[in-house]
Amino acid sequence: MRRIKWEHILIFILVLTIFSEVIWHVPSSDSSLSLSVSKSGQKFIVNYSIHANSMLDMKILLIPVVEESTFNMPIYVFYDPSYPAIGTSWDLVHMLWSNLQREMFLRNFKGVIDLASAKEMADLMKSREKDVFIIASGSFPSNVFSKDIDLVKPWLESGGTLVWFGWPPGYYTVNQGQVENATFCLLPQNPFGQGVDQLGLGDSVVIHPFNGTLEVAEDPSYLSNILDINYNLIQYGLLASSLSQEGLVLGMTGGSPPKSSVSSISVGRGKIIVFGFFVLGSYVLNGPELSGRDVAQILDSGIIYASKSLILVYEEHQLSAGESLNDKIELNTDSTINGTVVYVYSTTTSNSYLFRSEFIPNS
Amino acid sequence: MNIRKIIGALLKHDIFAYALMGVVLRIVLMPFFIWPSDIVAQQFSLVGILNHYDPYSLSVSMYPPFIYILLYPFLLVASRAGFAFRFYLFPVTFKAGMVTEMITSSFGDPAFLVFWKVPLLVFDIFTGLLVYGLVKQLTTDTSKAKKGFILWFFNPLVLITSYVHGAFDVIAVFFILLGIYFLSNEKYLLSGISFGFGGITKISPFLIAIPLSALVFLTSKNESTRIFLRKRFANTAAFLAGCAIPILLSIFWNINYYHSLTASTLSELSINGGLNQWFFLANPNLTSSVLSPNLNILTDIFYLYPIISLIPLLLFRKVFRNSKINSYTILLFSALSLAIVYLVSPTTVQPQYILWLIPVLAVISLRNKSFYWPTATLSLAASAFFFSLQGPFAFMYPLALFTPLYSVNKLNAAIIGYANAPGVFCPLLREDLCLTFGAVGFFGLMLTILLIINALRKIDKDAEN
Repeated sequence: MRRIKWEHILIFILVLTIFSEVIWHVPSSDSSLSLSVSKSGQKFIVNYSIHANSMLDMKILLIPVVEESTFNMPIYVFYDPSYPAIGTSWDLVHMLWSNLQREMFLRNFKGVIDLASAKEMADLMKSREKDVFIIASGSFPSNVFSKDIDLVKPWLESGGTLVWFGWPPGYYTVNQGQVENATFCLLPQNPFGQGVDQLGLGDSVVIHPFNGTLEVAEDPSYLSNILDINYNLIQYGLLASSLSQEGLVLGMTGGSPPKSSVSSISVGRGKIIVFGFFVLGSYVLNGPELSGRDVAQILDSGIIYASKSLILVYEEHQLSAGESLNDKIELNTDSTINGTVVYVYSTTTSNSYLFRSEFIPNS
Repeated sequence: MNIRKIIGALLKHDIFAYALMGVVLRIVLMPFFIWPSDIVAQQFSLVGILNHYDPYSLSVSMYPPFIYILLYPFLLVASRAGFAFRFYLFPVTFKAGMVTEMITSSFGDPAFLVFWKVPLLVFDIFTGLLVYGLVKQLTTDTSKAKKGFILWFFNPLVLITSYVHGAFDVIAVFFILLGIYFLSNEKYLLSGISFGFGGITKISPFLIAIPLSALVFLTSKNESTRIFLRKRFANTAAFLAGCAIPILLSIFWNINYYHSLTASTLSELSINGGLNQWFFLANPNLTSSVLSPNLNILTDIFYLYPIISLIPLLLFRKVFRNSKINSYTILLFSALSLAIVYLVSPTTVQPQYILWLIPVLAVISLRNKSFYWPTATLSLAASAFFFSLQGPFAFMYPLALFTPLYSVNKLNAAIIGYANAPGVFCPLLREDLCLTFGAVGFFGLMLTILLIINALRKIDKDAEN
């Protein structure tokens, strides 16, 4: 013991701290990507080179889209604790917001991602801007959607995007100051199935009482595989069969009849992206971390504007630290599309971040 | 220095065999066990810092920055050398996660778990050696010092917290004990630096530094050369300046950390369980609410902590101003300050935090045998509490996911079976067990405080005589 100089150990830790701080703050090159885009007839060609600074698992996608996607569109998360969160908590909504902020920040998102109260949401919807609203509290506030008021449908029809978690959209509506209780779900204020119909989802959702057991989808869909979307609850997921014309299966599928855990469906010029149930607790599958990532993947990739007539293409690569790669990827296009989104993302297993989202117009 | 001589001396040292056995045991546990929740935050944080984002601007961690500062150089070197840690998603774990809501589906591979736990091993060994040294200093008895080392190194709570749960509290523990060691040796600046490092590892060492800085001001070690007021101010200033040094060294991270704490609703208050919540202010129905409705009481008391923590100094001021103040008295006072932090701070709701008190109690036990009781009670209560939350199987996911030794489906079934088992006085068995071991832990804390007060009274009486 006398031989151990604890002063020296403390000094070593001090020096290590300074050293670590200095090397962390010294700018260094991160994993990088350069793209060059060219067209040959109907063929869209992307040559790319990647350098990985640390282990990189990534995918590059070419998504033919019919309109210029949701890039940098303002994103608002409905958060208003003066209303009840039916079946979930405002804490989880807040956590979804902070995780979405991180995911969009990593994807170089330049728009706003704010919390919005019921009043702010009503004002924004009235202005008919092309915003994204995320409602994860399970019900609409009554100043936005109720038996007598509908600001949602006109806003959607003018190009808004609604991301929904929880009970079927439009089924419940909540008043300011109201307290959730055992009989809430029977109150006549709720639009019930009529509200779901009003939003155009009547044929897409099977409405049934929640018996406390979560329904889980186990089969990855084509797009969930490509976009690494992991949300898998299908309690009130949209019926896969209802998505064939105006929608997309973005998540996992399961149940009988088959339902999709994450779906996108068109309403006028807008979209509703429906998650099969709520955001669950922190760090679990379907928690705010992975759900936030799923939302970011959907919004940033522009997948909800994907052409139904053309098939997207993708490549995946695994690079170790210091490794570089040159490759190309090609997509057959036609005049029905408005452009192509080049979407690059690092997967959840990667040690390195690499995100890129570029819209290349068709002309 | 002759390496052979050093190795020879090490081999001959009376704790070498025990240390070797303990290290082997730890290495065996490292790759296969983890608490299946918090480690995801560390995954996000480590990938973030590797890509030059601090964990706070990415809202992925609520822990102070030292663990990331410590790991960054090693992570960087390992990454450049081709080491890649991987977290894989295993949706199959969700079956159990749905029931307890404390099981992630994202698990780091065994290589990552070893990487994460090696620094814990280093601080663990250092803490054991400090315990050995402090006991030797206190008792001048090598065999007692060896017992102290064993009491720490083979304590089930120590093994579970670092190598089964994967919490890094042992780093804070080391700095607290090192701070006490320097304080006993009148090295106030170094003591402050130690507490400062402890505080940027887990915040609570800063709380303990409050009464200790008052102690530094109050003590006068040598009455014959009476310390003047100026000297007292100088010692206290040195201690406080020491505390500030680690904060200043990591000031940018600390500012972001502070902002993230104030901006996020994700505070430690939102965590289920913990000794305080489960007994002192129990919310006996885990399933009904995320937050204990009584937590605001804890928050209110917390603001009174600086005053409450000074009460022992006022009560026993004669003891602390006495010329015979020594390491033992300082250890007693430090243990008392830690116990008060547990009782009044809403941040100390997790069983692993009990670890902070264990080495201090272990050292005191070798001088005063009655302290074996609270040491054992707290160690066993906190260890049992860990296993009560989701059952012992919950720690075994890496073993089941990355080796053929156990099946995930069996684990899920065992956890779900345990989580749904009906209780006796609560709706569920796990609530019964959490409440019971929370009560045992609370009893251990009360016993600790009682024994410390008795010991201080005795010193007071002896000094009067």
